[in-house]
Amino acid sequence: MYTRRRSALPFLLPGLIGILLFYVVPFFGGIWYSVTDGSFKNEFVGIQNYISVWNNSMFQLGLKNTFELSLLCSPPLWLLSFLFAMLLTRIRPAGAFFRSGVLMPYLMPSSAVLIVWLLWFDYGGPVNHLLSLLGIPRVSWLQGLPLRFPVVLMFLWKNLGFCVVIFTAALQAIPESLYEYAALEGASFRQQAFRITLPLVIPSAFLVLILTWINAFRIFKEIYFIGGAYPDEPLYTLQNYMNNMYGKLNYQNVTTAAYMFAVMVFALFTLLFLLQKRAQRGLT
Amino acid sequence: MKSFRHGLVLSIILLLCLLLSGAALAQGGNAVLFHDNAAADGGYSTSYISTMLTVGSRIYAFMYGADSHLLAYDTQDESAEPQDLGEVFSYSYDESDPGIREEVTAYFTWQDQIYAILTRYESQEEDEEPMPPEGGFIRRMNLEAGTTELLECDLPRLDWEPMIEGEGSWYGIRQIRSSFCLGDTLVFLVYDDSYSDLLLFYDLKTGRCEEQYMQNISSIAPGPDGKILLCRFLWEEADGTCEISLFDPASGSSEILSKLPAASGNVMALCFREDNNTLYYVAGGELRAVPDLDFAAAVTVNDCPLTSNPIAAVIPDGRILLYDYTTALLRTTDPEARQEIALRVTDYAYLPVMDTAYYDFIASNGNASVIIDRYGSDRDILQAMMNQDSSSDIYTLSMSSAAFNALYNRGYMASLSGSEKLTALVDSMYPAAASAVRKDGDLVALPLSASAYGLGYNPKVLAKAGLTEEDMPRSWEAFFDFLDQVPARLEGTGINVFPYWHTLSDIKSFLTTQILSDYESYAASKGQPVDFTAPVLLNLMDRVGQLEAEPLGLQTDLEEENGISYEWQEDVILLDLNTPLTVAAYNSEFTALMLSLDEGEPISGYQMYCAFVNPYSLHPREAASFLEAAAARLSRPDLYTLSPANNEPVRYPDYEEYKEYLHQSLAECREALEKEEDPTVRSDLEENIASLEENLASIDDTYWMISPGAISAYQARAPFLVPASWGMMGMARETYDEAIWSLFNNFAQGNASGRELLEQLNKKYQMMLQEGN
Repeated sequence: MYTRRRSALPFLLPGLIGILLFYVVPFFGGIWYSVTDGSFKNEFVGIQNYISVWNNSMFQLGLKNTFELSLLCSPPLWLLSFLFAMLLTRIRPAGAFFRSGVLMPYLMPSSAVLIVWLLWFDYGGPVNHLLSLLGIPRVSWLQGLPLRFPVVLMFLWKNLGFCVVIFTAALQAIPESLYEYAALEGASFRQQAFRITLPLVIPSAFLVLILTWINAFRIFKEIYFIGGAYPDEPLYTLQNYMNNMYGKLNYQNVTTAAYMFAVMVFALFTLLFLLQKRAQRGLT
Repeated sequence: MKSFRHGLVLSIILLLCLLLSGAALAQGGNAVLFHDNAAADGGYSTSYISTMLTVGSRIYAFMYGADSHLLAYDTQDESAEPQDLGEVFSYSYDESDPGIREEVTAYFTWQDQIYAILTRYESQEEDEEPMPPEGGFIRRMNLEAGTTELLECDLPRLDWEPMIEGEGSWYGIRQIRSSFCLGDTLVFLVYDDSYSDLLLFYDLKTGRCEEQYMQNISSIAPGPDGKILLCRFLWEEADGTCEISLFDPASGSSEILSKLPAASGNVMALCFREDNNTLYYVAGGELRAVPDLDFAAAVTVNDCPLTSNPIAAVIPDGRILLYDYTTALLRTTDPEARQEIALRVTDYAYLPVMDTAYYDFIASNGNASVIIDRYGSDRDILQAMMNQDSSSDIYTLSMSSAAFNALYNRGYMASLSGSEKLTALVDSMYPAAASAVRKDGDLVALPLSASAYGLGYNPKVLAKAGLTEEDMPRSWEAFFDFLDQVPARLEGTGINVFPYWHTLSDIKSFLTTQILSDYESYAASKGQPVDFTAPVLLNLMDRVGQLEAEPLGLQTDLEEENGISYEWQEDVILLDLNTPLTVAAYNSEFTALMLSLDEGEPISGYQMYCAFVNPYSLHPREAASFLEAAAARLSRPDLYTLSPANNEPVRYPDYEEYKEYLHQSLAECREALEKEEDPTVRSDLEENIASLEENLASIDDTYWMISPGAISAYQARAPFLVPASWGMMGMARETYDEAIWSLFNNFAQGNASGRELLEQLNKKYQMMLQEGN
């Protein structure tokens, strides 16, 4: 075992050096910025930046919106992608074609797609036209709170394919013989789903949840295209805050906000990880 | 003993020979052969370089403009004045048939001689079918006699058909963008009829031509082994890419040498030096060398301040000749001769004064070179500061940019207070400009340019409409009252309130941005918080929203889309949107109209561009010295705008020549009138004489670059002009923030009310404020 570990080291080393140089060192190096005053003299100010950023109303707004948007985006995406994956594993022989198809939005440039979405959700666009036909009053989708709806839809549309691929791989990795054996033993569909499918899919489901959540935290490009540096309040995210702070050369606030957010995300994912372990134990 | 002495003498002679031959082969240093600075001073050049050709150790410059003449520079003694070889032949009329005109289409060098290619044009009667010009006649310049005389020579006439453009109704000669000889082949780069690039290869022994079509060629140069170096700009690639390749005319094939990102500067001025197999090119203010055509080994060997697509050639001592219309330089490529100090100026504000300062600075600092880089964005400066990057010594930025605001607030500007010259200049400026570049009493930036354009009225048109200066409004509120009333006053006069090519939404957009910019400047100057929902703004935006196209004689957007045609008419426009509020390098017929937001004085902002020294610079003293050179060379309009100490009016540079021309023309017309008997021609001549006399009578009053009236008018409004700082309007202009501009557009097109616009803007502005700096 020891020999195997030693022989693996040369193969791991280039990757580890890369991670060390481009992730670990900047991560800890950035901490220095967050405890200095940001002027040319760069004086040490302790946790003053953390206090001022935490008390900043725009940071608070960005944080709140980022979490709200992630909650609006991640669970539906997670659920939809699971259902789509189930469906695609059932469709044969055209499943591969559809699996490739759902990946297409993931490959398309956001700026180009966004123009189409904006036209759809324009006040005189097809979505409002449809609502009018149904007798529902038209909505100003591109202003205020309703603007979240097209943003969430676009997130779902863009990321669905990637999550479907992960779920599909997990579902296809379950040996067919397990279901045949369970069926012979007289297990019902419900029992098969909860005793075979779910326990074996949970690790992938957890991965999808984490990835979708991380992606949802990073929603910015679409918002920036629509609302610029200062979009309507319901769409102002932490990324807006950090981007604007960078434009003002305030990398102290950029790093401070980033570390505070990183701590929150770390805590959240640790909790999710513990929940996943517990759920998996319960199911097996 | 004798043999020893002989040996010693021989050794000394041999050593001297070696030293002298070494000296003869060694490169000279950098040199400025010609530089015309008129444009940088707000004027214009009266003489410019058309072509430069090298024959032996001499460089010949074909000068055009006020007088066309040929200058010869001796590359072994650049300090000597160039020899003027006299007037250059440009065109002549056939003595036997004045309808035939011969013109020089191009000059080229071949086998240490200069040749001219002539084209013959025959003028046609109106009812005759146009004929294509004849050309390709080669003449040799009589350099042996030291003249510009063109002599017949043995070279055959070139096949001129590929050089002729147009067909049927008109013909012309293609413009030659680049030309050189490769052995006995003369190469031209021209545009074809559909603006594709066309390479023409002329065999000088037979006159035959071969054609090669290309795409997106930006420059060409002779390369190794009879091949041609091509630089193509690949528009289709993201962020732009310059592709440098080697084209073999024999096989018609190309070999790509490198693809360079355009972000590092457009590749210009390609040239190839055979003796060291090195390619040279200019990009980002640098002259770069590519030994053995290996771009991985490319190094910067010198600076090059030329940006107007300069042309390069290698001269016999190995230096590079670089020239554009106004400047000719020699740049050494010898690494031993490189300057000790290389300053880098990152000039994202594109200030011409930096180019002017360059020549003064290198003339007085022989040990320094200056690279002026203009490729990049303000964000690069922020990134550089984060990295404590010392590679750039001086930066230039607009004072209203986010980057300037951030760097100023955080103290990322080195102190310039140590320079007496800079401090004295800034102290002499208007207080608003001087205080904007000081931080805690320390001078940290140098204002180098300032400009603003806004509303203006034409006094002549005002008088024509029966109005007086007293009728002009003083406040924005009164301005909208004026717009309500003035159409009735102008009825039947043929006068338009605004330029008639504008649409209603153009005018609304202009007025909205002008009012809001004025408001930001007003609030900043009074130290008041900005509130875009202030009653005064709500009221003014309502007034903007109420404007109608018809009474103001404006087009609607729909009419514009349908294409209304109009003819240019003088003296029919009462109000202009582009009148200089600062001192300009021309005599505007419009008088600036500054309007106040309240009962007080009108306050308006102007764009001020500043230079500052990088606090991480390794050469802060030299950088400050460079800024001193820039300060001493501020253009007249900028100097007069920034400093009240300047009161001397400035004539246009060609004032004397123009006056002389008018006198001469008048004398010729009078003489012709005395001899002329035809009443129609006499009538024309009398009209000309009257017009010339009128011009002569008014030239002293009107032919000013900066007139006494313009100076006094500016000095009266200068106390109310303040440099625009970073704010909502600055952000909108700088970032082209779609969200903000769509708010303006919606309002201008009547899809949103003034209140909606202001509330949205205010929300964004309050968010900006709450974020903090």
